[in-house]
Amino acid sequence: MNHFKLILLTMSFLIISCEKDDICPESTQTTPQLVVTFYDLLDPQQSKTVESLAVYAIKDSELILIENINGMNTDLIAIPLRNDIGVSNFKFIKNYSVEGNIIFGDLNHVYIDYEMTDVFISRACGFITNYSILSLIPYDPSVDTPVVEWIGGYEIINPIVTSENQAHVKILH
Amino acid sequence: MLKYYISIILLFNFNLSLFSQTENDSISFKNKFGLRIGTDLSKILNSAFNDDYEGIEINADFRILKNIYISSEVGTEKKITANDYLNTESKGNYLKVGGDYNMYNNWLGMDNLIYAGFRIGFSNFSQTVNSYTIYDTNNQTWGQVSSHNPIINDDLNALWMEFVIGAKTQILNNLFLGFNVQLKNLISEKTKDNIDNIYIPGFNRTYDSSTLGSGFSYSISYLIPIIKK
Repeated sequence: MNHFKLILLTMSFLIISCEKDDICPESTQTTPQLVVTFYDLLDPQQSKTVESLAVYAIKDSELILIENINGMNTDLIAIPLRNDIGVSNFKFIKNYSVEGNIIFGDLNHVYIDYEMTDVFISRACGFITNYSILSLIPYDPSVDTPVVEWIGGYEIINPIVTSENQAHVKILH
Repeated sequence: MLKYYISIILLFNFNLSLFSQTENDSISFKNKFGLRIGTDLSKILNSAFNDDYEGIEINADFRILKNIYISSEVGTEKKITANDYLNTESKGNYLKVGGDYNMYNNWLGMDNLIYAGFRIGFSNFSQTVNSYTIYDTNNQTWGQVSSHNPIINDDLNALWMEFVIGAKTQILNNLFLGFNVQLKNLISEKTKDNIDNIYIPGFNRTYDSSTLGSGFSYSISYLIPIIKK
């Protein structure tokens, strides 16, 4: 009888004490970024590098530099879209340099309008956002007279953003 | 004087009952067959001390052969599961039906069990995603975004099987204390909106990588003897 009780007690405490936490593994598919490729305006099949490109996100009229796009020569970038509202505003800056707080270079406003869907991934990571691009405007729509800057044209080649495996937007310059 | 009488009577009665007790005990021992009804103490304690949990389970078994019992558990549970990204609440009822085989050779007159058993479990429940934080490793630019619009999914269900190992010991006449562990395997489940069932009442938490689950119960039960043979 006493052995019985002892076994019961120890077993119950052992089981109670081994519950595991859930941690989202780093390899998990995260919310995809928008993949933008740059092509030649005169020869739209030919990719063309942008010299010293930087991209700033505009949130509440504040400029936030996207960390890994800070003045590099590239023909392909991935930029994060805003998750709380379906509109993101960017400044694409060619020939970029910065001194103190002053930004030098050729600025071009990019406005992107999209629908968001939250997709369940796993119990540990929860949800990610997928996007469906509605429109892209290469100037600031809140400004009365649109000005053409260095971006000469664009094409939305894949409006559904579920991964970063393919380009979504083509920018001509 | 009256006091004296009462004492005498009490003493006499006591002696008599003591005598009859030994007489009863000397009669050959019989196995009790009956309905044993109990409750899972761990669920009651968990409900009392854990804000994220409410649950109760009634369990019962009925002895049909010397070593074979028909067993069943019925219960209701509400459980909030939360981590960095996700907060969900599962709520529902479950029923498990199966049998136990007693492997313990009792001494004469004892009624303890060390048993192995099998169950089929069914649960009908709802799961609500209370809130979630978008999993986005590139949120340095725009900041972290959370949603607090609940996603309610009603009328979910799950079917599973269970392998049980446990023991029951008689602590007082017909009163038993028991403990068991359950290894579970999900047979089928109904999900909605592609959202995994995070916690299934009766089955307990689920795992991403497998259909296995586990559980334990620490129960107190009372045997209502129906026949002795």
